[in-house]
Amino acid sequence: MSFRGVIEIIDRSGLLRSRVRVEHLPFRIGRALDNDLVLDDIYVCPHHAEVREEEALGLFDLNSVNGSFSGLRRAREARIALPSSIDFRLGHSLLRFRAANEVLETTAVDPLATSRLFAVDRFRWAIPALLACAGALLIERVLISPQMLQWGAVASAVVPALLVILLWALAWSMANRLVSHRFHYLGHLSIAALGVLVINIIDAFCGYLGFTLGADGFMSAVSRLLSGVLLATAIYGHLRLISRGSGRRLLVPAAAVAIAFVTLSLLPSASDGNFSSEPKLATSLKPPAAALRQGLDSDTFYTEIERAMDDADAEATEEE
Amino acid sequence: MRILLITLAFVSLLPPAWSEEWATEEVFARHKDSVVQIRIIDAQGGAKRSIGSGFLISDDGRLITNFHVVADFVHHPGEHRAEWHTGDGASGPLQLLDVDVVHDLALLQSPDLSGRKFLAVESNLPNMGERIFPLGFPYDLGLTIVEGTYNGLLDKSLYERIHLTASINPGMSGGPAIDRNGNVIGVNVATAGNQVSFVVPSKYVIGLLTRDDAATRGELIGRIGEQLRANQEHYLGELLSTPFVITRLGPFEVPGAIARYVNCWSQTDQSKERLIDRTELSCQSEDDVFISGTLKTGAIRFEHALRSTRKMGAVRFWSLMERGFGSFYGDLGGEKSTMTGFSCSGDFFEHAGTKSKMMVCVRRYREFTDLYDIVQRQIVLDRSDQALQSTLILTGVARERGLGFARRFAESLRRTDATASAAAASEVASPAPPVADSAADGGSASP
Repeated sequence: MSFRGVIEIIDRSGLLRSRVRVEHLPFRIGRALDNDLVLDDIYVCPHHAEVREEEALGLFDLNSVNGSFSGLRRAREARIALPSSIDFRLGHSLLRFRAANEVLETTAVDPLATSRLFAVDRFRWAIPALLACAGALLIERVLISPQMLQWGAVASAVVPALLVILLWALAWSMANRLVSHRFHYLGHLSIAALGVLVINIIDAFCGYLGFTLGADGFMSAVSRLLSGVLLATAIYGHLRLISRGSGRRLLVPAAAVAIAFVTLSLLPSASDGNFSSEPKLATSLKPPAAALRQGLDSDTFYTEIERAMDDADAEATEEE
Repeated sequence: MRILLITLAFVSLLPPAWSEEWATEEVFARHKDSVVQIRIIDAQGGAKRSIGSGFLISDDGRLITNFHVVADFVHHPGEHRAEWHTGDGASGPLQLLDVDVVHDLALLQSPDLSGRKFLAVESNLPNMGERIFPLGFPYDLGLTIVEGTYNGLLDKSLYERIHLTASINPGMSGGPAIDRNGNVIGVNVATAGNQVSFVVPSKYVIGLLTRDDAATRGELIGRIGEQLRANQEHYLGELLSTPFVITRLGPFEVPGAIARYVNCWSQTDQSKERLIDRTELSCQSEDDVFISGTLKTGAIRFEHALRSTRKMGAVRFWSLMERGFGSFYGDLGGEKSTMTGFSCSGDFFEHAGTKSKMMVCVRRYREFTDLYDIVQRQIVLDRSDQALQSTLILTGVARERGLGFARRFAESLRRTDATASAAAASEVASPAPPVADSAADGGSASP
């Protein structure tokens, strides 16, 4: 008999798992071993359905318990016509029929092989990223240490942070393994390390810019926003590695996590119902050479303070 | 030394012919009926919340005690009631007529006490070393008389106080300090322990008696606000009428002991391990005004911290300055019901060629209009290896005087060593201030 087409078995993330050639008719599908295509799916009958030709090529349900379905439709069908590239479901299995005249790749391609993201899943990304991240954490640590540097102490402060990054990457790899049978540990590690590095850079940059321009409040809001965007990007990257699939639908969960993060970070200052008898004097301070803007004169400066007093007045009268 | 010892022994063997030991007994016997215990009773729990002493001042049952004894009753009249108790077990309710919060006095009345013996008030101060007898109910132990000596008025106090060498203990607050003739020379108010005690001079009692009574609680709160505003107007006005006393701190000139009641301490820390040399100068007025158990006001505090480094890079040095600037140790007290939260504002500040970064936080007293606490911190930005950080805390000040003082303070900081190249450079870089401006400040910087 001649070649009539190919049945592809699709996995949960919508990717091709395996293929089988339909070379004779009828071509029977089911859970029993004597089928042409054996589906080890407990929701599939031993002899569930078969492909045969009655006027046209079709999939015929063999009075199965759970039925056969076309595409994503919910009505069970006794007969499903099989033009090219049609999806059908038996039990919990998703199958796709490819007609004989379709041009198919002889060897299925790993979808990640063509993705640029896949490149980070290499030592040449992961090691430099981790080192750069360690460097950033080290600098941060050194900057806040008032004593002579004891490198042991400095390193011991950085190591826990690095361990957290390594574990974070491991957690994503485990999830990756569950979903798509691969770890991509180096990829997840690169993403995490780069994320921490970039967050540090954003933070430092915004701090300097805030000081230079005398716009602390604005720049810290910008910094928070950028951190949120960065977090969304990192989570998108992790999800993308896991799913290997279309990226667009992953944007939603990534954005949701980032928005949740930004909201949570804003929450303490927004709902500052807790009374504090200590003022919050924090401001950005950098070497004087970085202070490009001229200072306000007394009149202008204390007019601003009068505005703060007006705020205090408003607060005092509104709750009286 | 031997001579001194012998002399001491000789004196102690002498019979106390000039002794006045009889006086204490007689003073006590004559005046014990005029002193009562004041109890502030928690209305819910039914037991005492705080205790103090008080003394009768007129035959219509008026008595004087400390404001801090009755503060809970003033702030939360619904939750408390005030009672007097005598040593012989009699008691009755009290009504609050007026307060002098600045001098920690309160005027109360109970009709049940009318007709009882009362004490006369002597506004002239005793002679140095004169015997004075504070009376009161220490630790709820019953009426006690203490012998003490008058040691003059406190020199270094913003609020006038008599220094009495006597053991005044908790519970005696509000009791009278009387001379041997039974005249009240002051009201027991505080102790520093070891016989060092403080008494409010009786001229303030007379001041309280000559005013009309406050009719309502609202009126009373209004008066407290008025007293606090008048008080800050008085001392800040005085401070602002003359140039600040300027002290040198390293290469800087800073405000120092700006008044006799402002006490300064300094400390230098140059340990090799720290990489940063620090010199700190902190000054504060010696007294404050009691508002409630959690809130004191009417004080000036400031601190200058000079930090320099020779071994640390500028980025690291300023990163540490940033941390230091953000941390504030010094709870200003108060609760959500009495104070607003802090509103802060900050920016670069430039005066007479000195550039600094400054943050100012203010909060208001909810019940008192035009009374604020101000916290101001500035750090001079003229050299990458040296930083002067000055913090000023003003409590219970009105808008005009408070900001006037804060402004004068901020403008007073300046570097004196013109040789420092960085300082010179920054002065050249920034436009010179108009001459009229610095003249108008009244020469605040140089004495």
